[in-house]
Amino acid sequence: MTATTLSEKPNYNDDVVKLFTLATIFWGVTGFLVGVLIASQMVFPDLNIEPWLNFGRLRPLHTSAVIFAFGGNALFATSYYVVQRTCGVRLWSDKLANFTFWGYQAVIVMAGLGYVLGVTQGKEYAEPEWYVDLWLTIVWVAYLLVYLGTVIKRKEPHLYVANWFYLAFIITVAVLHLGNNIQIPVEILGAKSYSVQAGVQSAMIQWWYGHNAVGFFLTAGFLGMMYYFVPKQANRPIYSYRLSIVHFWSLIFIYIWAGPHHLHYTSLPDWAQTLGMTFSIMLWMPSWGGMINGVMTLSGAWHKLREDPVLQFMIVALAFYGMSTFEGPLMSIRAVNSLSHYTDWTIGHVHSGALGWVGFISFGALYYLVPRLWGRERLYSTKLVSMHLWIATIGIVFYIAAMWVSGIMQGLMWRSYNDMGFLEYSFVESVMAMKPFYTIRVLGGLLYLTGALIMVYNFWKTIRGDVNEKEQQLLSQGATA
Amino acid sequence: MIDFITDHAGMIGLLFFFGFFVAAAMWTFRPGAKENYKKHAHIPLEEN
Repeated sequence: MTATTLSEKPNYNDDVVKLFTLATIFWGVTGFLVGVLIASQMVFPDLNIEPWLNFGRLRPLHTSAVIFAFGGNALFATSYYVVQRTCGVRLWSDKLANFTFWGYQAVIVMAGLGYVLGVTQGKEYAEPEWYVDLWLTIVWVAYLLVYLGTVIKRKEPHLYVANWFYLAFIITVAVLHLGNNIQIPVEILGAKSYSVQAGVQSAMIQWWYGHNAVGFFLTAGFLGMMYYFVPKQANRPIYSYRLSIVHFWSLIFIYIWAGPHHLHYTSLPDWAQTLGMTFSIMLWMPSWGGMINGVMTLSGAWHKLREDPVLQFMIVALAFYGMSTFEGPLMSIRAVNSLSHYTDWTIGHVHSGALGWVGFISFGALYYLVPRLWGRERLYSTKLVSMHLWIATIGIVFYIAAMWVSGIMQGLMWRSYNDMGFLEYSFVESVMAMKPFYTIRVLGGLLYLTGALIMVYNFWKTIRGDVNEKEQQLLSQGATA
Repeated sequence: MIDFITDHAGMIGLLFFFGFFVAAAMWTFRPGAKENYKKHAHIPLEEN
């Protein structure tokens, strides 16, 4: 299975990493495009094409495409790349690894088709019905086996911390998925099923799942990415390995309790709401510890940040991680939540994390991976990377600033009373007030999508092996000067 | 025994998780660990 005779370098299985990398790029662009479309539907309601392409059906298509298709494939690609390099061995079982690729793409397609056709469990981020849930369980167990099989046969005695984060992500997502999808199908040949839990218990389990999808899928997994690719791109060891371990244990021990902050002022008992809020505030510490650890890796080599747009992507990602993990605990405080909940502020918060942290750390990792996987000396164009970075960053700023203003305005309008004790505004007045901000959001999304398309062009040229004469000249001039 | 555990499951869970976390955190600060951690931090930089 492996051949490591001629050189010290093991014969890594990069074929499967390549597949996942291409899938990441494809689903990324698809997910961003659907995002722009549904943002446009909010401004131009005529774009809702009934019944398949209305907002209600496309919204889960967007969230699943960006989280599970783009983010998931990025996690598969990088985790398979990282575990081989940090363990010094080839991935365990080529066949099973290939199965995880095709199996996971099948999950995405089945889930996406279901949304458009109106097949849904109606649970946020867990919309796919029971048949997709079962298939995902099989794929996920295969993923865990491939990962563990590789870890077990490793040559490096210490398991590098990035793998701890990836493993926490794989194992916890399995537990969350099983816990939140205990459903009873209504009929054997039908898609419809009902949750075993009912009422507030069902809501609590849903948000235990939902928030930990953020904590373990979108945070722990991508922190694994950060702990490998930031040191590699900067060519420096992580600032503090000790801090990375404390970061790991505190993050996973605290995150799992934060879910109830999604259910403030509901029939969930007060003590549970307070518990969720308290643990959310405690999350400030590991989040910022991790952010500082990543950023300070450049300590003593800050000049690299000036010169390298790929590193800029990673450091801006960490800055957004710090910002959104500051905002999240703030919003979990019950009094703040009374203003922010059910408003666009939440959407803005999610997107500063998703576009800024998850998106940018993935773009950074992709820019690192593509030339190496396809055996190219460098990316086709560094200038285009820089362009992608700035266009996308401006896009995010448009997006989140618009949602802050619109969300807080929405919250304030909903709670305004006049002298007679009646509501000051009707609901439709608050909707009308949102329109300019929804337009700005479309612009932000378009910029983010444009950046991603620039990346696609750059990768296309890199993979084809095209050489950018101008940049090549500048590089050789720099070398001789 | 089983009655005691089920009656105090919350407190036992709290003490177990908190104790585990404190132990794990303190373990990273054990004497002599610093050199090891420095080596571990270099793992990604050593491979090709």
